[in-house]
Amino acid sequence: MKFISKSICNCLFMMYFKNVIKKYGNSRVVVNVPEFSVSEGIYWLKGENGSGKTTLLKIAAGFLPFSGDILVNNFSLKNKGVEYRQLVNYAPAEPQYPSFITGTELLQFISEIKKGTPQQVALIKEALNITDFLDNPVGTYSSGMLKKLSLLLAFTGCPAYILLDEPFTTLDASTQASLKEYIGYISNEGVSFIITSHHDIDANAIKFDGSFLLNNAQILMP
Amino acid sequence: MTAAYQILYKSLIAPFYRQNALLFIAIVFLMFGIQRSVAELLLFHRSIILSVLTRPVFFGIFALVWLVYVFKVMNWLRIQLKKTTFSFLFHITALPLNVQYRLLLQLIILWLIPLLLYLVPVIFIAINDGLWVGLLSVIIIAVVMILIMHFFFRKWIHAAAGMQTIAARNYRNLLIVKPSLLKFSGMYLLQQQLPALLMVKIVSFLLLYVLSRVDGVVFEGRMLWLIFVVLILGHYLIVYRLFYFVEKEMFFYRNLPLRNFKLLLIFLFIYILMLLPEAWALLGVAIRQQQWGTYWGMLCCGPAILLLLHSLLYSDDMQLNEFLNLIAGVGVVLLFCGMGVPLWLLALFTVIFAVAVFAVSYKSFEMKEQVGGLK
Repeated sequence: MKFISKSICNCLFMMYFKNVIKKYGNSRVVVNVPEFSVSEGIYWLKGENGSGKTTLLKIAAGFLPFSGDILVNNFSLKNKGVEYRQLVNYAPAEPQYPSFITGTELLQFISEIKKGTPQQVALIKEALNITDFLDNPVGTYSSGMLKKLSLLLAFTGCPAYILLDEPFTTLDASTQASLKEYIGYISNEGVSFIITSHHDIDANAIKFDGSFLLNNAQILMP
Repeated sequence: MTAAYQILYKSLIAPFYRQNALLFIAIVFLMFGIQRSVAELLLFHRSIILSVLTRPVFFGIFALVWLVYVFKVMNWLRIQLKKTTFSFLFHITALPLNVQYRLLLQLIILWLIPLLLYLVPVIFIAINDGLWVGLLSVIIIAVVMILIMHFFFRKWIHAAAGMQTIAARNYRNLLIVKPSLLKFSGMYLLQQQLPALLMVKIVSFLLLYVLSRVDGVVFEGRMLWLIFVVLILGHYLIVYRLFYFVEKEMFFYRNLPLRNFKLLLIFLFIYILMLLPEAWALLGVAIRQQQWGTYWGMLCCGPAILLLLHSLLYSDDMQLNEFLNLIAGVGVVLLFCGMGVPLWLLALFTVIFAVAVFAVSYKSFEMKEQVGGLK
């Protein structure tokens, strides 16, 4: 598969977690990261079920409230939320969208806000084997189609970091292979990834620059 | 009672009445709870029924009520049948045709009980007073509605797994504007919440319209303010559902680089559009009673109050009953303030308060069911 360069910018990005604490209720600490940084590259976030991987990604994507701060390229999620969100995209493990909206409408919406281009969208659609189902309402999609749509939205725009929560679940084998290839490709263009996956990923398919383990709410370097 | 009937009753009838219990209680109260005596109650309903049977306008309203109710039931049914948890219901298509027809008819009658109960005195009075044309008209309306419901119900049940295809085919892009949060919210209100929206708007508009026809000496300005506040607060269900649509189904928007201020403006714009019918009816009041100050004040207060309700929802992940308690408090405060403070000033204070609540609580808002285990 051939991809055209989508270059974002030539600056070096770093995601920096500063005293990030997330509690559920009054006592249950799910994430406790005093200080942690993720430099450019592809990283595998590991952890058992319920260890807080999804919560950590949602926090980093700006979905959930938390104490502390996260910075990307010195843009603080708390103080410069708009600029931060321009640089961080996210694809959930179990995507959900309003059933009556079409994939095309969602894509136009996200493209406009995240500054994606038609050429870029065409490339991603090709990479993810997305056919013509986008014109139908989301309520008609299968789980695999929903997953492809969420990945398409996550890749759209000019993010510095893309957070993928279980990206290979529900995808067919050929799309999984294409996705891995595409991740490797845009990683070379300067986009970094944090991926959670319970699937075994062949080291040749995606060249991880590192991995972290989320255990007892803390991020550990194995 | 067959097993098929029992399962359909438990899946489609009981939940419908449970989910709409508040609405039914409110309607029963409005229809039967505001008269001072039984004699007055009987007289009131007799005059309504006679109007339906003899005057085309009232007959039109009667037909509209049936149509809105049937639309509400069918919309609810369509949403239920689209859920995968209800896919087992399609097994009833294996029953003999005559059994299927009878079963569906039984269910339709159960859904229509509130309307059919009211039809009994209508028929009785029509026969008693010899109003045969009126009687025939109301019976035709009832039969046509039952047939329409039967047709769609049977079609959807038979569509089986193709229910999603029906949804796709019925899909209409009502707003020819580019995709945005505003458009998606509008589509949600116009497509998913149309029955509730129609009901609230019809009641709200008609009440204000009636007031615009009444002479100003009948009620003073404070009464108008009281009625207006109650009608605006009556939009609580729409505000509540819109809020949870945005925060639940449009959850992904929180990852988008949107300024909070813009978000608030979008909601304010939606509420301004939503209150256009009331603005039109109030204009009638203003023209008839020459209360232009009150008119402009109320015009500003309406969207401001709805925006405040929306902002207050960010203060905590509330159940509907908790939200209703909050609304009762807000209503009392607004009623008293509106009687002592100029309405334009009250509108300004309301907007400032809404912005302040939003600024403080938007970022920390979190749905308990999403974080798990808190409910």
